[in-house]
Amino acid sequence: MNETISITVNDRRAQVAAGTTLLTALRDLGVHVPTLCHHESLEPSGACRLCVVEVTHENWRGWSGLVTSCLYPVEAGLQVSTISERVRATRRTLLELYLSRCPDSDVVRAVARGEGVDGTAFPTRQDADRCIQCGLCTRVCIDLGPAAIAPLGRGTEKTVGPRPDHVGEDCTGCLACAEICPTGEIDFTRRDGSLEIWKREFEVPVCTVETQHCRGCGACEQACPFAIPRVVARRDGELVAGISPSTCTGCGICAGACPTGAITQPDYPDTDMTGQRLVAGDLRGMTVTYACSRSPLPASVEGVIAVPCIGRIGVDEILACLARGADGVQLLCRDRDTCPYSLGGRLGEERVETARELAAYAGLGGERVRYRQPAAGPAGPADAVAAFRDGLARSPLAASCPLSGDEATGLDRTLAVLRWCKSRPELRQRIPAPIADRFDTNESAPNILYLGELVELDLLLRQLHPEWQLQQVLADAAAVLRRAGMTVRLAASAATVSALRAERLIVLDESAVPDFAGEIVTFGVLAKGNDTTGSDDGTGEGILAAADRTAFRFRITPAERVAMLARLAAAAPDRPCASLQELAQIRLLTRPGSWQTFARGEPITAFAQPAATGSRATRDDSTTGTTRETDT
Amino acid sequence: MPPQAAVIEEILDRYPAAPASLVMVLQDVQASLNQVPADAVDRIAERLQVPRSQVHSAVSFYKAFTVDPRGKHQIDVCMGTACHVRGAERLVGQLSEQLGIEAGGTTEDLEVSLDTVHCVGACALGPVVVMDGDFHGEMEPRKLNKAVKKCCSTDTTCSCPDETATAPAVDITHLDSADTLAVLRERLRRATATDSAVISICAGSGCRALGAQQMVAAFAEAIAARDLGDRVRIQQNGCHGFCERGLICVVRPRGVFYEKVKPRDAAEIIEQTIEKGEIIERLLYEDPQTGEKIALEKDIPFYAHQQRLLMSQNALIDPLNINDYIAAGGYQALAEVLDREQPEAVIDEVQRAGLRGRGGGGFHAARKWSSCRRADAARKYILCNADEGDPGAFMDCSLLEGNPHSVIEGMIIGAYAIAGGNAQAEGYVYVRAEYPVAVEHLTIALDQARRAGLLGSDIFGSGFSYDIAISRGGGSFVCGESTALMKSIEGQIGEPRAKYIHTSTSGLWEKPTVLNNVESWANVPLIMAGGAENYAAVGTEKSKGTKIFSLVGKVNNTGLVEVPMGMTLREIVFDIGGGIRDGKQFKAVQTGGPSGGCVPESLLDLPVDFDALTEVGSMMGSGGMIVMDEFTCMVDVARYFTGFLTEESCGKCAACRLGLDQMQRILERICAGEGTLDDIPVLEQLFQVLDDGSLCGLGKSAANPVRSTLRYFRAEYEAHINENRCPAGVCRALVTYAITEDCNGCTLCLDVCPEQAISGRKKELHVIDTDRCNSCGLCYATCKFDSIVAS
Repeated sequence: MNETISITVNDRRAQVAAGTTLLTALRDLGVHVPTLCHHESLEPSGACRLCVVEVTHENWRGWSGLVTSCLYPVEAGLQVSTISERVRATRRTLLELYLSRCPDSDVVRAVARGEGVDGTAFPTRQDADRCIQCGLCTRVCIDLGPAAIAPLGRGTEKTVGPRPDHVGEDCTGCLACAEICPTGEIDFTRRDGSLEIWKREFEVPVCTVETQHCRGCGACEQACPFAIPRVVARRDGELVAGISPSTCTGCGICAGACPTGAITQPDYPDTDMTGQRLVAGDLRGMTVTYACSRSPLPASVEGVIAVPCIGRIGVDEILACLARGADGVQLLCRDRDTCPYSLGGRLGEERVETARELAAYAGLGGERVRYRQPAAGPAGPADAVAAFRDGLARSPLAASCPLSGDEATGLDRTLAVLRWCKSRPELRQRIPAPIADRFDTNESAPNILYLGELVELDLLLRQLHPEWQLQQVLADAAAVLRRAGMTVRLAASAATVSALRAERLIVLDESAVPDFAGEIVTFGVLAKGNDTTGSDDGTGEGILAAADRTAFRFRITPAERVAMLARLAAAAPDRPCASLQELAQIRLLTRPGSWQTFARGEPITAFAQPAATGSRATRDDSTTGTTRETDT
Repeated sequence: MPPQAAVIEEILDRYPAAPASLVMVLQDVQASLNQVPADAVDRIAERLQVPRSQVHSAVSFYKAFTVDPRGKHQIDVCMGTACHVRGAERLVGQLSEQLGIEAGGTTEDLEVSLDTVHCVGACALGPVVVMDGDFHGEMEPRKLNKAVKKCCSTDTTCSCPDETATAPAVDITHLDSADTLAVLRERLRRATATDSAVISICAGSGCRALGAQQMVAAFAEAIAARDLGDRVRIQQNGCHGFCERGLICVVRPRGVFYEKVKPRDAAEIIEQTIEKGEIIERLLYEDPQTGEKIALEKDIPFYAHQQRLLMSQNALIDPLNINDYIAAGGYQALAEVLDREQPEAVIDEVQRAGLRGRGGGGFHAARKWSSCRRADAARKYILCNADEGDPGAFMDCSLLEGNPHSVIEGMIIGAYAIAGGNAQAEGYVYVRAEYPVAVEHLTIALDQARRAGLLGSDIFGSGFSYDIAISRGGGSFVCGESTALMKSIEGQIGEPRAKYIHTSTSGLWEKPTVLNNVESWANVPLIMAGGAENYAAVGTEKSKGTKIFSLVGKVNNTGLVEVPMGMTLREIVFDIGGGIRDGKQFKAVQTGGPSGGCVPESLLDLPVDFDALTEVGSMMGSGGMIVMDEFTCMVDVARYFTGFLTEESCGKCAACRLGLDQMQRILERICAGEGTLDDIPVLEQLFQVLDDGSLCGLGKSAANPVRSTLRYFRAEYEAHINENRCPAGVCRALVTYAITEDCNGCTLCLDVCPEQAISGRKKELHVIDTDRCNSCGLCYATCKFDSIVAS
C-alpha cells in the first residue's frame, strides 16, 4: 500500500498519498483548484499561476506564502489554504489579466466566472487572441516526439510556433497540439485528402472501403477514434461501411480493425507493406518494428515500418511476420495519454497481447512480440528498436510460411498461419506444455483450429456432439482473438461475416427465447457447407469454400435486426434485463447507436421501432460517398 | 570570405556536438555572419541533436541573435540605469532620426544597425554609445553626429569584438605541489623587486573607452625611445575603480596617481617622473573640498574611505599574467586548503566567516555548499554566475576582467569543499556576452591555470580534480536567475523553474549544483587566506565582509567602490562619491537594479547591508547604486525599470508576463499626463499579483521599483496625474522648454535641434518656437550654460 501523510486543507485534516504534488493531492481530496496549464500526463510547468495556494507549517515560525500547487511536493504537516484572501486576490487579478489578454476565450471566461470574476479592470490588448501561453501544446509536442513547436520570443510578445514564419517543418500533423489547446487557439483545416496545420499541408491517406469484402460488421465504427465510418444499408438491403474522405484523418485504425481487409488506404505510401512488402518476403533474421509515423523515427534502421498509427496493424499482420521467419515484431506507440489517436494505441497493445498468445499457441514463440511506448524525446524510438533487437532471444524458424502476398487479410490470414503452424511438427514441439496439452489431447476435434468459426463450431458441436470437451478451448481461443479487437463472429469464416458479432462466447438459452433458436437454425445452414459442397477434409478448406458461396445469405438487415429484437422483447417481457443484457454484451446489436441506448438500461421496447432505425440508415447514405461500389 | 556553409561547419567544429553548445554556436554564427540564417538553423539542429524548433526558440529568445542580417556597422546605445538617468533615451531618439531607423532596425543598404543594450558595464561614463565595438563615453547630442559619421566611414567588415587577441607569452611553471608554488612565488617576487618602476595603467571598461590601449602604446613608444625597457615595466590592469578620473595611471612603487591622462602625456611622465623622479602637478588629483593637489593614490579621499580587500589587487596585477597573481600571493589559499583541510572544514570556515551570496539574495554560501555536499551524486557542478544583468552594475565585469584568477581560485576551493572526495566536480562560468573583454580575460586565465596544473586532474598533487568551462549568455537578464542560467548552459531558453527542489539537490543536468556569483567566489580565497575570524571582523552582525558597489549616476566620483558592510548610504554617496554633480540636490539612490528600489534622502543614514535594504523596500542586489538628483523623475525611473523588466521577462508565467505589461501601460500613461488617480489602486493590485503570483525571483521582485517610488515619492506621481506636471522636467509630454535671458548665443542648441525649432543669431539670445518643439530635450541636455529651462 502506498504511504500516506497527513496535511491540513482549509483547516480540515486529511490523509494524502506521499510523493505527489500538492495539486494532485488536493484534487484527490476533491478540493477545487483552478488550472489552465495542467495535464495529468505532462510534466507540470507552473505557467498559468492559477493553482497557487497558501501554505504554512508549524515548523516555519509563522511564515506563510503562496506556492504553485502543481509543482509543490506534499509534505507531512503542511497547512494548506485554497481559499485564503491572498489566494483569491491573486487568482482574481490573474483572471482579470487573462481576460484582458484573451477576451474572446470562452474557456478563460468560464474559469473566471467560476472564481467570481465577470470583467476586467485592465484594458484589452489590440492584438488580443486566445493564446494564454499555457505551454501545453509545446509540452505535448515534445512529449509525443516531434518537438515541432516551441515557445518563440519572450515576455509579452511570446508566441508559439515551429519557427518565426510558423511553417511546421517537423510537424507530423498529429493534431495533438490542437486537441490539447484549452482555448482552441491552434487552427487547422481539413479538406478531402489533406490537412493543413502550422502552414503545412499533409496528404491524408484516406481510408476506403472495398465493398465486395465489406460485411457491414461495424468493427470500423467501433475502432475509429473520431466516429467517421458508418455502416449503412444499401438499397438492396446489404450492410456496408462508408467513410467520408473529407473528415477521415487517415490514421488507418479502422483498417487494422477490419476483419476482412475491406478497408484500404490507397494513398498511403506504404500501403503495400500490409499485404506484400514484408509478408511476401522472407523475414528470417530480421526484426520488424511498426512505429507511429507521428513520432520521429530512426530512418536508417532496417525493419522499421512507419505506420500512421499502430492501430493500423492487425493480429494477422504480426503473426504473418513471425510465420515468415522474423525474429520478432514490435509495435511502437507514442504517449497514449496525450495522443489524439490513443484508441489506436490501445487496440495495438491489445492485439499484441492476442498475437503473443496465438503465437505461443501456434508454436511461434509469444515472447517475440511486444508493444512499447518509447521514452519521450527524439531518441526514444531509436533506443526502443535497439533494445528490442538486443533483448530478443533469437529462435530462427526452420522455414517460412508460404503465404502469398495477395492473400486475404484479416481473420483469413490468421487462420492460414495457424493452419500452417499446425502442419509443422517442429513448431508443435515448441508449444508450451499447458497449451500443448489442450492443443493435442483433443485429436477428435480437428476443427478446433478453425478459429474464425469458433462460435459456429461451438454451437454445432454442442448440438451435435454434446460429449465433446471443447468448450474451454474455444473460449480461450476466442478470448485471445477478442483482445485483438477482432470480433468473434456468429458466422462461418471471415468471408462470411454476418452482421452480428459476439463479445463473449455466450450461448443463448434457446428454450427461453424460442424464436431466437430459429436464428440459430439459420446459422445452422452453414453446416451445409460441411456436408454439401465443401466437405470437411480436416483442413477447413471445405467449410471456407462453401461459406464463400453462401456468404450473403446470412446477412441481417436493419429491419430484420429490429424485428428480431422485438421478438426477443416479446419473448421475455417480465425480465427485460437478464437475457437481454447479455444480448447487449455480446453486441448482438452491432450499431453503436443502438448499443449505447441499450447500455443506458432503457427497456428493450425502445428498439421495437422499425421506423426510427430505418430512417437513420437512409440518412447515413450520405456518408458512403466514396465507398467503392464493386458488387452491385 | 568563405561561403556561409563552410563558416557554419567551422563554428560547429569548435564545440562538442551536444545541445549544451547551442547558445555558443549561435553566438559565433551571429558574430561571423551578422545573422543566424535559416539554413544555419537546420544544420545546427542536426549537428547538435536539438529539435529545429528549439533552435528557432533560442534565436528568438536571446536578444543577441537576429534572423535578418545586421548592418555592416553596429551602433549600440547603452540603456543601463546610469546611462538612462544621464539621457540615453534622447540619444536613441537622435540616432533614430539621423539614421531613419528605429532601435533594433537596420538601414536598407545594410550599412548600419541601431540597437539598445542593457548595460555594457561602463556605467561611470554614461551615457555610452558603442560603435563597432568601440566605447564612446559621456556622449552628448552635439558629438553624436560626428561620431556616427566617423564610424560609418571606417571600413570594418565585422562588428564583433576582437576575439583574435592572443594571450601574451607568459612563462608558465607547472605547479604540482604547494612547495613548487612557494618556490615560484619567491622567484617572481625577487624578479619584480629588481624592476625599478612599474607604470600601472587602468584598462577597465571605462578607461578603455577613453583610450587606454592608445596610452599603453604611447608609453611603450616613450620607453623604447629612451631605451628604458629593462628599468620600466608597463602593467595593464583591470579597473582601478575611480572611473570618473580616467584615464588613470599609477607610477609604482611610489604610488603616484595621475588622472585624466592623455596618450600624449606618456613621454612627459617617463621623462619627469621615471627619469627625474619629479611629480607632474598638472596631472594630479585635486580635492574639490580643499583645492589641494594630492600626489599619492592612498591619500585620495575616494580610496581612503574604502576598504578595498578585493579591488586593491586589480591595480597590482596584469590579469593576463598568472604570475602577477601568484606573486601577489595568489593560489596560496588553495594550496593550503588542498594540503591541509578536509572539505567539511572548508565549509565550516566559510560558515564562520558568514559569507553571503553577493548576487542579490544574500543566501548563506556555506548552507548551500553543505547541502550540495550532502547530496548523493557521482557528479556535481560548481558554477559561477557572471551574468551581471543589472543595468548600472559592473563590478563583476571588473573583477573578471581585472582579476580572473581570484574567481577561479575561489571556485576551485569551493569545488573541493563541495565535491572533494565524494563526487566528480565540474564547473562553468556563465558570462554575459555583452562583456567580451571579460570573456577574453577569463579564457586566457583559465588556459594559464590549466597549464599551471591548477585546473584539471590531480590539482597540487592532492588527487582532487576540477575544471571550468565558459558558457556565454545570449543577452537575457532573466538568465541571471539560477534555474534559468542552468537551462541556458544546457542550451535551452532561459525559462526559470520553481525551486521547491533546490538546485543544490538537482540543478544543472539534474545534478547537485552550487551557483555563486563572481564577487562571492572572489571572497573565498580571502576567507581561506586570512581566516574566518578576520573576515567576519568586517561588516555588520548579519552581513560580513565588504561589498563592491558601482556608484554611478548623478554623483561626482563615479566608479567602483568597495566598502565594509554597514557603511551608511550617506558616507558612500557623499564621502566617497563626493556628492551630487553640478551642485544639484540629492533625491534618491537606487540599489538592487530592477529588483530593488529607490531609497530617499530621509533614509541616507541607513547602514547598507542585506537586511537593512530589504527592510526599506529595496535590496542589495548585485551592487548597482545609481544616484539620482532633482532632475531625475521618479515616475520615469519606475517606468524605465518596468519597461526593462517587461522586455526581459521570459514570458513563461502569466503573473509576470501579463502583470508587467499592464503595469508598464499604466506608468506610460502617467508619464504621458494621461494617468488618473484610479491608476494607483490598480498598480497596488498588480504589486500583489506580482509578489504572490510570480514563478521566479524576477517577477516576485518586479514591483519593487514602482512600489518604492510610490512609497517615497508619491507626490511626484500625483503631480503627473493631478497637475499634468513632471517636477523633474523629464517626461516629454509634460515638459516645455524655454530659453532664458542668460543665453549667450553659442548656437549649440540650434545645431542640435532636430525640428529646427530654435532660432537666433550667434552671440544673440535664442528662442524656441513652441509650436515646432517636440520636447525632445536635446537642447536642454546640450546647453552648457543652463540657459534652457524646463517647465
